[in-house]
Amino acid sequence: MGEISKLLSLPRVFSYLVPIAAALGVPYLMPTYYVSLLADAFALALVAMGVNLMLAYAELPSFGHAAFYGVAAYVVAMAFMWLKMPVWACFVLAVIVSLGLGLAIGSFSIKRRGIYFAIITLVSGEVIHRIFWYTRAVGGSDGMSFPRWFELRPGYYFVLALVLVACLLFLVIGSSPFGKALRAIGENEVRARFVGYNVELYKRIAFVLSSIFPALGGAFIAGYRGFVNPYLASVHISSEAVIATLIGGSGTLIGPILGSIFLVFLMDIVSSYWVGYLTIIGMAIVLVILFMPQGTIPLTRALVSPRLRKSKVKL
Amino acid sequence: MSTKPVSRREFLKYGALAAGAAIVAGGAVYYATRPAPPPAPKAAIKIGDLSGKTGVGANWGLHMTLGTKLAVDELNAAGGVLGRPVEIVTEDTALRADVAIKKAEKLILEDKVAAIFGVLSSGVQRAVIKVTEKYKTLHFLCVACADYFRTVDFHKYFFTVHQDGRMSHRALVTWLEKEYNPDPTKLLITYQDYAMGWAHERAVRKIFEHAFGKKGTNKVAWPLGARDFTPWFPKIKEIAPEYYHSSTWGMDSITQIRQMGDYGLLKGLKSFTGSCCIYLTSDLTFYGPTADGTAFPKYWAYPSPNKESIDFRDKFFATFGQTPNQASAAHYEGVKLWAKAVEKAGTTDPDAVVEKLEGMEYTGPLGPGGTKVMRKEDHAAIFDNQITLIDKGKEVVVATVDGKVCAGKPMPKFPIPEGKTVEDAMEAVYDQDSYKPMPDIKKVRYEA
Amino acid sequence: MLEYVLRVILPSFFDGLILGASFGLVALGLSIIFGITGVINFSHGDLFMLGSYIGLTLLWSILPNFWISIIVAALVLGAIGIMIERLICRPLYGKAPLLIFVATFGLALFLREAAKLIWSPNPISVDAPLIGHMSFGVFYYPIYRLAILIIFSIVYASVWFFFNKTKYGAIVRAATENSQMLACLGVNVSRVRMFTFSLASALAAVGGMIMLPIASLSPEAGALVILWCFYIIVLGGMGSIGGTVLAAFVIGEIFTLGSVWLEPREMEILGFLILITVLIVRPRGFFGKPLLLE
Repeated sequence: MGEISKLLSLPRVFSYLVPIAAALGVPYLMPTYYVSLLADAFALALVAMGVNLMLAYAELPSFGHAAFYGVAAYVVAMAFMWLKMPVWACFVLAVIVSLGLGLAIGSFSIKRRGIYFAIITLVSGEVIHRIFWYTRAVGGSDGMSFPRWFELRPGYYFVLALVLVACLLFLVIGSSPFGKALRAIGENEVRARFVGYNVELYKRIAFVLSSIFPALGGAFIAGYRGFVNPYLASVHISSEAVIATLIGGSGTLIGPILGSIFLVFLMDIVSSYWVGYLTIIGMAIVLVILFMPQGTIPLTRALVSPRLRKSKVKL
Repeated sequence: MSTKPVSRREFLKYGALAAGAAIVAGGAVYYATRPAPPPAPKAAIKIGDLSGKTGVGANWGLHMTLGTKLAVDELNAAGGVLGRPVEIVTEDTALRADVAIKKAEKLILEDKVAAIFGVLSSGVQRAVIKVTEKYKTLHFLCVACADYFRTVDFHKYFFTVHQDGRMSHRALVTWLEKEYNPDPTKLLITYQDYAMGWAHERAVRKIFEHAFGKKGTNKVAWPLGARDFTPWFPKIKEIAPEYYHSSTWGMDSITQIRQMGDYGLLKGLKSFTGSCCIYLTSDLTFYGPTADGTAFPKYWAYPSPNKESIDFRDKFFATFGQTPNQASAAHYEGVKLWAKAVEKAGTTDPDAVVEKLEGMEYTGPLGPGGTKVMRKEDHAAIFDNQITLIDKGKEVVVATVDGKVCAGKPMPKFPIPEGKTVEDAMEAVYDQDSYKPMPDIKKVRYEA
Repeated sequence: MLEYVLRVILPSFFDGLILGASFGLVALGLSIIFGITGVINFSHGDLFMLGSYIGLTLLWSILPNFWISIIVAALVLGAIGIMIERLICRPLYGKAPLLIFVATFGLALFLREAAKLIWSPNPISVDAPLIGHMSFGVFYYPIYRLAILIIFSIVYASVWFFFNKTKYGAIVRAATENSQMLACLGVNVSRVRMFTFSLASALAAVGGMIMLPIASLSPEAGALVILWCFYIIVLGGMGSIGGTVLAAFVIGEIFTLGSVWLEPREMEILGFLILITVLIVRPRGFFGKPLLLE
């Protein structure tokens, strides 16, 4: 609890209010196209936050988190179109199904660490993607359309609210005893085991919790676009989430969010100028890893106030 | 007249007044006689060219743009539409529905296009048609050929310029039946596993069933863009077909035939037919003898005797230095069709244009010639289909089939029953369509 | 019965050997790179793709014949492999494996998109250098594929010979097991790493070129191959050469023979289930070392 009160200290609160106020004002300052782009970025940010939970605390890099994003989106589409459920119920159902999927995938993925974990989650995500791709009843490779839930501006505020809620959730998890134990496991699993923590259980719970974030994002993006397709569960989205986390800095709260905004805007702007924009993205990823593996947030923090230089997690 | 000598002050006063009057008078004369200022340029009418320009469909997408461009250039050379120049805004869907939705909204909301021409992939088209319905934008479909758009997906502002799968397969199946009287259990339909493939397999199967009472056709599906078809060959060997129909487009068409030839699966085939998109006219020289013997229905065939088609061919080649194909021809016709309706309506307002288009008669490169009609009920273009055979690497039209009958019963806004999927509804479309009379088939031989 | 075997099963069996052999070359390279450097090279599939494109371009422009193109493509990719190792991997040794994974992912994206720009995003279908088929009763099979079986046998035999009968091969094998010890023994491990990356890239190029006429070539080919390779190296054990090759053939056969009775797309799901089962039951794969469990 002490951590939370530290977070609520005056200068800290001020540093939160400024970006929040900016985010609230965006629809009045930017053209509608960029508002919807920002909404897309926030949806990706939710996936990235899920990745961040596993990565920053438990040192487990998940390359398949878009599976939850995609599954939540499809659940929303199917519940809304076929079961005629109200919007809020679709959301709740999507999160529940994602939690179940998190339990299932987590049960075998967390048995391995590091690269193995990355490969397993990647392959799991790809299988989910393939299942949607091959299932004719949900539209196959083309996906499904349904009437949208939100117009552009209300949708933006909705996802902003989701992101704020997700941040709170992230903070609560992180500063709880559970979060501390998770960090201990991430730093040195053998030591944590010897101290008496049930490592498997903690990792499993963490994985399930981390699936909530992309589920919220997926449920939102389905209702926002009125459209779902298998691409939502693909390795491309999973990797974008990981890259956004790394660019922003994985040991921080807003790192994934800023990284997502940066990545989404970069891709959109460069894509209008050159059809080969992805080569630039690929090169950018390599360069960021080579020269800024801590991401940009710790870097800017170090530049802005050297006192705060120690980042929470070593990479 | 006064006799008092004029004082200097008076002279100055009257002189100034006179000068002022002269200036004003002179100014007035000048203003009245000045040359007319150049007329303000009239705002251009923008149209959207939306389709897959990169990736697997790039060849198609390129030609869709070229056909649009040729039509627009001709319109502008003749003074534009309603005296205003036409401007094309091109956007790439990358064959992805989510990208296409965004681009369609950009065209409608930011570029404020008067009409959208596109798209390429049937799956993408299903998503885009919902956008044009929402924003009440004119939408001319010239290439994507699945059967959903005249039926379940239909909306008031949507027009089909070419012939969709339901129509062209009615022509093809009738011809196939007449030429070969095939045993349905020996007929194999292979298709790409997405909206278009599902639609075409359904069309062939249902038309055989309802028009000729033949049931039991076989089917094998593979993913769109599969590079290697050998995993499906054991199934094909099991079926051991004598009549083979392929609903594929793009590289899949050529790879599949090549591999089937390598594995001996083409031996013993009595007929090899394809759907309308199996080959692009412009690609035939590339395929070589592998494509020989394929018969498929075309809404635009290169050797067509249609005078407007011949003009289009020559102009296209002269302008772009390459052979046109069905995609470029269809877009050319679509743009001209829209322009004609706009001129008639005197405005680009969608409702007025729709009113003029319904029932309108027109001519253009598609079809074997003669006047076409844009049917009022489901906005389908009515003209004869040309069954085309590939002979020594060239297209030869061997039959024309009556278009009015092939178009079938208009079923716009076909409802999807409660608890059923779109695919179920489409099966019902065929069940409820009319199959009498049989369309007239005329045997011909058109060679370029 | 015999007729069914000859007409349906035997061609599929050969197809499985070919598929397994081609994946095996790529997975083999991936495996030895991992063994020596601890790096999972996400872009390895794209090296396979790049090898095909470069070889094809050379074939269409300056080289007289397909077989020579295979060798030249291998050499070119070998050089590219060295560049990748020096520029991208070397600065990242010792850092978290995740970073290298993501860096090679970025490289894979770059190579794939660059291929789309340099050549074309459209698939290309190429005629085999040997046209025609061989038939034996109801057995009907393309000659080129039979030739490939022979060629792959030669390639694999050479690889086996290199690793088991030559001094440098022994050094590479030793490096996959324990490179620190090897450094203590005075071997220039850094040079061994460079060579390994180069060899792995060359092998991938050979696989790519050989498979070129079989299915159409597209820039997305790499993404497909790497996924199969992941299955293979988990099954066969990371770092184990023999295990990887065996797993490649097993997976190749499961996919092709399985397609005789099941749908090919069901096979992909089946592959995944097998992967999970292996991970839970025997995480080290066929022959992997328990120490490498991460």
